[in-house]
Amino acid sequence: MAHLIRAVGVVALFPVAAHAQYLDPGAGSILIQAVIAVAVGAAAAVKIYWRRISSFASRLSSRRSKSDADT
Amino acid sequence: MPQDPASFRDPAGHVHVREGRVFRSVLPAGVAHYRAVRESGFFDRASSEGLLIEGREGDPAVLQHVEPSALHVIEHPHLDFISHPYEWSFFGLRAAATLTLDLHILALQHGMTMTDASAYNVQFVGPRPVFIDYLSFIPYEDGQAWLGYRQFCQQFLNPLLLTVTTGVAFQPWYRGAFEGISSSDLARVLPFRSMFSPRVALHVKLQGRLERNVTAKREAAARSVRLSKTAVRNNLRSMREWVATLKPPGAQRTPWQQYELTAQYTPGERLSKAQFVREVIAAERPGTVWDLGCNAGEYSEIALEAGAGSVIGFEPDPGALSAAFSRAVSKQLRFLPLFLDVANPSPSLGWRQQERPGFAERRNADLVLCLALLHHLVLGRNLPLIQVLDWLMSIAPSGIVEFVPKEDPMARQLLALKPDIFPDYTRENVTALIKERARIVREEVVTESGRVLFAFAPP
Repeated sequence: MAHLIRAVGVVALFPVAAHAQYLDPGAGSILIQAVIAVAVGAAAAVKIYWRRISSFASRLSSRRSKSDADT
Repeated sequence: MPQDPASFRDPAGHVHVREGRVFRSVLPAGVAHYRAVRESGFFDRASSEGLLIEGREGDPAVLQHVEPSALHVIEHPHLDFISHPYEWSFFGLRAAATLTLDLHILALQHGMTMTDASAYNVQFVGPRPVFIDYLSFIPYEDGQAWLGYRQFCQQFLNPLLLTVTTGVAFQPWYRGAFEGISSSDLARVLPFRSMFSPRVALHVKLQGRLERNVTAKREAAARSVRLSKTAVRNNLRSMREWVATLKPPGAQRTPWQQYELTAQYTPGERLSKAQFVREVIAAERPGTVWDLGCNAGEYSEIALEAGAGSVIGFEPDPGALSAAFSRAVSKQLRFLPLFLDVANPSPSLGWRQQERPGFAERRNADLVLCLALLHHLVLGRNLPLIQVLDWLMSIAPSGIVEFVPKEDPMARQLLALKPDIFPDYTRENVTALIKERARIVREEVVTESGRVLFAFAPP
C-alpha cells in the first residue's frame, strides 16, 4: 500500500511557504500538475499491480469455469 | 565588456562576452543555490554526459569592472552560433525538449530542481542540443511542483503539438509570439479529433481553460498543492515518453525533401558541382560556413568533408529541413540546419529588440554557399539582382554562388506563369557585379543547361 501511495505521489493538500522564484508557474498549471500526477500515478499503480490483478482475475475465472463444469 | 543583451532577467547572474570568451557571473542573489548545486555533483555529472555545456570556474576578478559583486565566474566554451527556438526544425525542438526533461530528472536525482524550462536555455553544437544555463538549477524543496511546467508547454510541447495535430509549421507563430504558444491559444485551433487524446485534453484543453479563468479560489488552491518528488518525477517521465514519440504528419512531406533525388542534374553534372565545392572549401579551409537554401544538406556535408569547421544551414521548407537535421544526426556532422526564409530573415526581437538578435546581427561566416538559390530570389521573389548580390556578399568575405540561366528547366518553371521582367538577370551581369565587389577565384559551367558556379574571395 505504501508503494501505491508513493506511485500516486500526491502527498496531501496543505499550505507551503512561497518559494523564491523568478518565474510565475501559473495557478492553473500547478493545479493541472496535481491532476496529471494522479493520472500518471494511477497508471503506474495499475502497471505495478496489473500482474496481481490479472492473476486474481484469471484465478477468479478459472474458479468460475471449474464451478461451471461442476454443475 | 558587453553583457549579453539576452541575459538580464535572472538576478542570480549574467552572461558577458569578451574577445570571444564567454563568462557567467554568479551574484549574491544566486550564490547559495549555485554552491549547493555544485556541491551535489550535478554540474559535473551533467556536463560529463554532454547534456550541460562545460563550465570552468575562474577568477571573479575578470569581471571586476563590469560586475564587481560577482562571487564566482564560470567560463563556458564559445558556441558556433546562437540560434533561437523559432529557427529550429521540428526534430531540433523535440531534441531540445527531451534534453530539458532529462536534465530535470537528473537534477532531481541529485536533490536539485529546475527553476524554469526556457527553450532559449538550449543551444546546438551541430545537431546536438546542449543546455547552457547553470543558474536554472536550485535545491529541491519538499512538496515543490514542476516550476517550469507551463513554460515547458508554451516553449516546447505546444509548438510541437501544433505541427503534429494540424500539419502547420510552428516556426512563424513561434517567431511572432517568441515566448511560445500558450495552451489557451493552441486549444482554440486544435482539430476536433485531437480532443480524444487524454494528454491533449489535459495539457492543452484543461490547462488552457484554467489559464483563461484565474480566480482567487484557484490561486489559493494552487498555493496549497504539494507534490511528492516521485509525483514530479513521474510527470516529467511521462511527458518525456510522450514528447519523444511526437512526429510531424505526412503533410510535412514536401517536394524539396526529395529534391536531391529529382533535381535536374545528370550524375556527371552532380559530380562536377560537388567537386567544385569540395576544391574551393579545401583551399579556403573556412571555420564557419553558412549554407543558404541548404535543402537536405548535401553540400553542407561536402563542405564539412572538405575541411570546413562547422556549417549552419538555412532552409524554409520544413520537409527538407527535417531531412537535413536527420542527415546531421545520423552522420554526426557539425551541421545545424535552421528554419529561415532568406527573403524574410529572423529580425531582432524581444526587449529593446536586443534580446534575440536577428540574422544579420549574428553574421559570423567565413564562407557562404548560395547554391541553386539566386534564381529563386531574383526570378521567383522579384528581388533586384544587385541587392541580392550586395546582401549575399555582406554575409561572408568568400563564397560560392550558383547562377541558373533562364533556359534551365528549373528557371523556366519559375517564369512559366509570369512575364520575364528580369532583363538584367544574365551571366554577364552576375559576373560584372561580383567583380565590382570581390575577386572571382574560379568560374565554371557545371551543367549542359548552362549553370555556372562562381567562387569569390576578398579583392
